[in-house]
Amino acid sequence: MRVTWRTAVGPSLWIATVIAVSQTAGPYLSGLGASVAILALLGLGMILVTGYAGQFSLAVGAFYGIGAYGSALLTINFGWPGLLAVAASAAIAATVSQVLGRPLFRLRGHFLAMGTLALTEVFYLLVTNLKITNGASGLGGIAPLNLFGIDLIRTDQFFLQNWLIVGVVLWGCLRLRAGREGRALKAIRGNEVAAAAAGINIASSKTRIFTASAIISSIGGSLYAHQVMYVNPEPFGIATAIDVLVIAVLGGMRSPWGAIVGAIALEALNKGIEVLLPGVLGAGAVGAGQALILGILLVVILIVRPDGIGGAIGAVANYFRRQQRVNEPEPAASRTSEKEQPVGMAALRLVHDENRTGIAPGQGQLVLEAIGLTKRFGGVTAVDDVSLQIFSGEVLAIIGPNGAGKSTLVNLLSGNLPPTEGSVFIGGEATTGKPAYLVANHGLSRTFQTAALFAEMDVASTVKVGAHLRGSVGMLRSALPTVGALREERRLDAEVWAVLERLDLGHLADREANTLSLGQQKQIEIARALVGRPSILLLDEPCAGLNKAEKKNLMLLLRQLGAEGLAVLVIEHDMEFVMSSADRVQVLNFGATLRVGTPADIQSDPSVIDAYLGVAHEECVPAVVLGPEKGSQ
Amino acid sequence: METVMQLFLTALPAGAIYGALGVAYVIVHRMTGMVNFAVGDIAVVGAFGAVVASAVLPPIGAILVGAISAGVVSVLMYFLAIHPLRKQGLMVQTIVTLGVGIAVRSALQLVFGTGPYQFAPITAGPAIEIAGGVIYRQSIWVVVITVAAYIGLAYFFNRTLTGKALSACAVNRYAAGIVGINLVVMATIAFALSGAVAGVVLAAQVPSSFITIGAGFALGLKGFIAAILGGFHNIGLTLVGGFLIAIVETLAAVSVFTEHAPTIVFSLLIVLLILRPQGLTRKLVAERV
Repeated sequence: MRVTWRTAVGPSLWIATVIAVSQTAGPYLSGLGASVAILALLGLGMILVTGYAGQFSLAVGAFYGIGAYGSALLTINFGWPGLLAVAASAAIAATVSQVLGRPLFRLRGHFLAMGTLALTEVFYLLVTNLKITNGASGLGGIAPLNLFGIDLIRTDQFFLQNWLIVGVVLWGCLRLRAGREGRALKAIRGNEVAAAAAGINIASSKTRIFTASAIISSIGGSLYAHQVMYVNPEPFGIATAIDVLVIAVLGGMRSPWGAIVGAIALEALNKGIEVLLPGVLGAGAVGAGQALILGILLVVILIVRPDGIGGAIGAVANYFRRQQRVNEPEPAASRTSEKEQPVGMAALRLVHDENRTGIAPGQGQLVLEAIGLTKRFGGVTAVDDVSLQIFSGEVLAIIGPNGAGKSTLVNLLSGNLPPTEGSVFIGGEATTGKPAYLVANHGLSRTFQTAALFAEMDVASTVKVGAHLRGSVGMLRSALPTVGALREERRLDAEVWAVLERLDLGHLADREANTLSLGQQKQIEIARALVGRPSILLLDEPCAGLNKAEKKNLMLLLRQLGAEGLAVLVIEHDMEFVMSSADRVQVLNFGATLRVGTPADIQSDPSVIDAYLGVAHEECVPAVVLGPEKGSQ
Repeated sequence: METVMQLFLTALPAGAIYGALGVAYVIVHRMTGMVNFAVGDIAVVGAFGAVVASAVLPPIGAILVGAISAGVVSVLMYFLAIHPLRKQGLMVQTIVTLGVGIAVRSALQLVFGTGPYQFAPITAGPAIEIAGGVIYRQSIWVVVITVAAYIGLAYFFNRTLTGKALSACAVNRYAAGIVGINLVVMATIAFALSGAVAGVVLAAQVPSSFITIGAGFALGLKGFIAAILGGFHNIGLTLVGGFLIAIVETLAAVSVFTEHAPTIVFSLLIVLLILRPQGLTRKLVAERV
């Protein structure tokens, strides 16, 4: 985000519109608008958790109620000033969300949904049955909010106040989405394993957005209490939580604008039903009829348009943008075609290594050491007492037949799986059994055997997720971008761009990563791993889906990375690639180490030839002689 | 001794209902990995199906109609709401079941209103006294039908080819598809069984007290606790879980916290999720996948 005069246009327009409407609309309309604003606020809270982080929560009823009852009890019983009560209630909501969020977010999504549904119901039952909340009759006589000596009591004041708060929260949500934390949440939604590998603390990120949502809902509740001046249990039950869910689904979960669109649309719909339904089914049917339409609406929208009205508007806008782009010249194609050299990989490596500067292989320091790693899945021993060392400045290849435990070994090193026995040290510090995001903090980056990219994310952002640990801006600074946060984003952008250029992916920067070819996806993963500036890089079958020229480039890249002092571990089946890119090769068979040595040693080792290579590498001709197929006689 | 026996006899039929609803969650979860929020309301469909059929059929026939109607609604929900969303994530599928639950509940309300409904018991006669406690004859039927459903399901999952195919889908849907198991057929069976089990037990309960439209929500939550206790996998432990919830609920109701009994039960759901998400089983289903 660049700060220019344009940055101020949106907020100024918002403020001007809100002031204009509050002054022109009559008391009825502005009162209605003020209550729609509270629903929009709750919708924003839901979109943060369910839309941004992909976690389905129905706790909004409880947090909304904590705000309302907190404001009511603190002002009536203790005579606290309104603003202080609003802040204290929000603090209570934040605490509850922290206590509840941490353990619940360890579980799969729908357990959170049920847990939060129960929370809302428990809150509803408590305020209905407790004496302090005066049961079902509720509490009256709540003082209005007092701002700079003015009591806010008129509906136009409510309208102004509520929609300005909605504007601030909306702006924060939009900024958050563009910032470091929003990117991390989107990555979590897209692929949790890959997000953790980039160093994102998933449980913490989810809990923090849950807390942000709790605070927003609680403020909504406080506004309700101070404006209606009376609270009873009814508005804080499951029905409200479901209303808010419908708002978010109707408006669209992908953008915070969905909450505003959804809240207005739902209110219009409800008013329409109130007018039309009594004529059709009688006055007594309004409640059930509204609920029926709400339920059917939820189902139909999810099936027809899962991204809601907001998504539909976005699709139309994108269509016109694409129409414009047709006239622009095609972006420059990849450089690979020009760079293609008609030489074998081995020759290419020799040329590269002769010109090598930096540290020579074999002189680096020990970066990663694994001692006696063992992993058992039930009765199967996938990795059996494997030890390995990787030094800075070298490329270590792990080869072995399918099922030899190569990928499991990488998962043990990166923290994606805890070892049954054995230990791992990175830079001399023990990382055994630490979760993946902490191992990433020790300077380890990795790619996955099947490309693990994030759904609905473009290439530049995908790679930028890899730079998560290169930044430090938290949730609040992402939402209210400070000078430091903006500067950091710009620095990360530059780092991402440098890596994209190096891997020749610049022309794909704004394409959606998941729609690209397998080879490109694997290279994007490598870019994402590199942008974190790791000290050790683990590549799990990076050649899958790459063509010959791309493999050559990758081989050169690995040699260069080694020369720059990085420790690289690569799993690969392409023997030409392995033998020309590696400084050392470790052979696994049946989960155990068969042999470690230079590529030349390995190629001539009889046991390796027996177990894996089959024939000596020099004799390995591309044309494999096939026997007659079974059943073809 | 008498109060203990009475507690047991009160909790037994209630626990059977919670357990049966829990089993309804488990069957669908094992097959699809999703949580069906509409389970409580589908059970209520079964109860009202029985209420309507009781006008022309004897109670046992009415209860059977209840089972069938709940099964049919459950399968309809699968084809109309969940199957079209099979390419979306689990979250979207879970949200849609919530929408179906609301739609079903309010549609029933438009037809039947909010009042209580009842029909005649299978065997008429006064409550039976056992070791100092009393139990309605119909409540015994509720327990018997639940146990019969359990034996039937256990036989189905462990002994029949279709049942094993369903279990295979639970372990690995992709692999199950590759070996020629039709996933749509399996899901249909799972949703039909799930609806029928919930519907038959709740329908059987109607003569011993009554049924209202709004009952589904609380029943659904209690059934969910039973399912957690069963580790979202084990049908027998889910029934045990249902009974434990009924014990807690009955104890809370006779203690000083009478008006807080439901609060205590629902808090149990949150406490369980935080402290012991694997329930009575040893391993967390979320890790088992």
